[in-house]
Amino acid sequence: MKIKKLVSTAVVSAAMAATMAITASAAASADSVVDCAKVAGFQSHNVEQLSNFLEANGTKFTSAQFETMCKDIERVANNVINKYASQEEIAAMDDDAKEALFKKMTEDDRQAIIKACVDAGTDVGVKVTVTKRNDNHGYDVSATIESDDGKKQTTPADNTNPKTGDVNSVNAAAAVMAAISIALAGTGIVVVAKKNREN
Amino acid sequence: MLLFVFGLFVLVLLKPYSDIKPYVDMVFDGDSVQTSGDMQVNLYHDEDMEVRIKEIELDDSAVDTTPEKPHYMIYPYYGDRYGSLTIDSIGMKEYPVFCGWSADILECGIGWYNGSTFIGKVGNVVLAAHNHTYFYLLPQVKVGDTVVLETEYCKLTYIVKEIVTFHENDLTYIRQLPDHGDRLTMFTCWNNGRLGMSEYRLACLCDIVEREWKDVEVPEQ
Repeated sequence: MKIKKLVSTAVVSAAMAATMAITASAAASADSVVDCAKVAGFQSHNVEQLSNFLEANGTKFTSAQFETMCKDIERVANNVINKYASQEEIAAMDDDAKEALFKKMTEDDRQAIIKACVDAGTDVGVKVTVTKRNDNHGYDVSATIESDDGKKQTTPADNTNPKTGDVNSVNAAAAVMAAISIALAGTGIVVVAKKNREN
Repeated sequence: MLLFVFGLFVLVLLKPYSDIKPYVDMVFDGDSVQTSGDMQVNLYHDEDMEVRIKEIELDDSAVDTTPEKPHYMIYPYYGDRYGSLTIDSIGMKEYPVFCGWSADILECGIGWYNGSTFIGKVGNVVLAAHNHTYFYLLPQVKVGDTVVLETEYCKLTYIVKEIVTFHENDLTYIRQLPDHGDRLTMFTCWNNGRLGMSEYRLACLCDIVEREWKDVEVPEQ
């Protein structure tokens, strides 16, 4: 059962958001795409990631790619998400309920979503990367776009709980205390030696 | 004297000075302000990317100190320096804010969550940083303090309204507000006042009081 937890709900949401982002089209369609994501059941922070991506990169995609994106969303909703809740039920859900829905998904369904993300990216010339995290608590998702002039940019989907503590704090504090102790001891020896010479 | 020099040598060898400084400050009660956080290399895009500028409109109900000016957004690429954060009451002056909050970015400064609202737009702008470096002073913030968040294209002024702690799996404070409120959320690890990792976060929730738009040079198409 632990295997099922490997793909976290956040990662699945982020993966889908990334897919939507990379297949989206320019300005006029951006709002519709965001609305589609909401209807499909994505959590608000993933919808915001999609919205931000479209706002900043909307001009890099064509109308045809926008159509592809809408189909991708519908396909994911119909084939996976709606197995767990109807569209009407999803519409009535808050973010916590949507998260609970994703937690109910099987590992196969989550993997199917991730595969759909990668495939959709390939279709529109965007590289979607899904990397298993070292801590075994999910995957990192990012989308890489290459402009007409050959320049590349990568946009990772930020995870929702960044590590904001000092990972090495114990070692660092111990190192400082040890170094200060040594320094003070050294100073003491110098002072004593100096006193002895004076005497 | 040799031991003294040896001690300093060990100190430098064990950790880079920037990592150790907060602890030294703690021991000697020094000024822990540090503002040198520019990333030397951005791993997320090639050099000389096109500048992404777009004019936006705000709702009439939005706080807008300069409504007469056009509102141009300059969209950052992931990993770019995005702006700066100033909280005078605790001695934080122009701390660097970057686009995104991956681990390497948080080594260089404060991270803007790319699942939150772009700085300048109406919504919940979410920032995070380490509790031993850039948000080392955050626990000293008090309700009523003024916070200034500034980018190339706008300057936002907030007042701290509430300070809360929450579990890392509780996404309430990083999501958009149900009432589409205009807020700044800043958080760091909270270990009951001690440094180090924790599954809890300390967050300062701030309400916007001023939104000032700057003059932006728009390149010709």
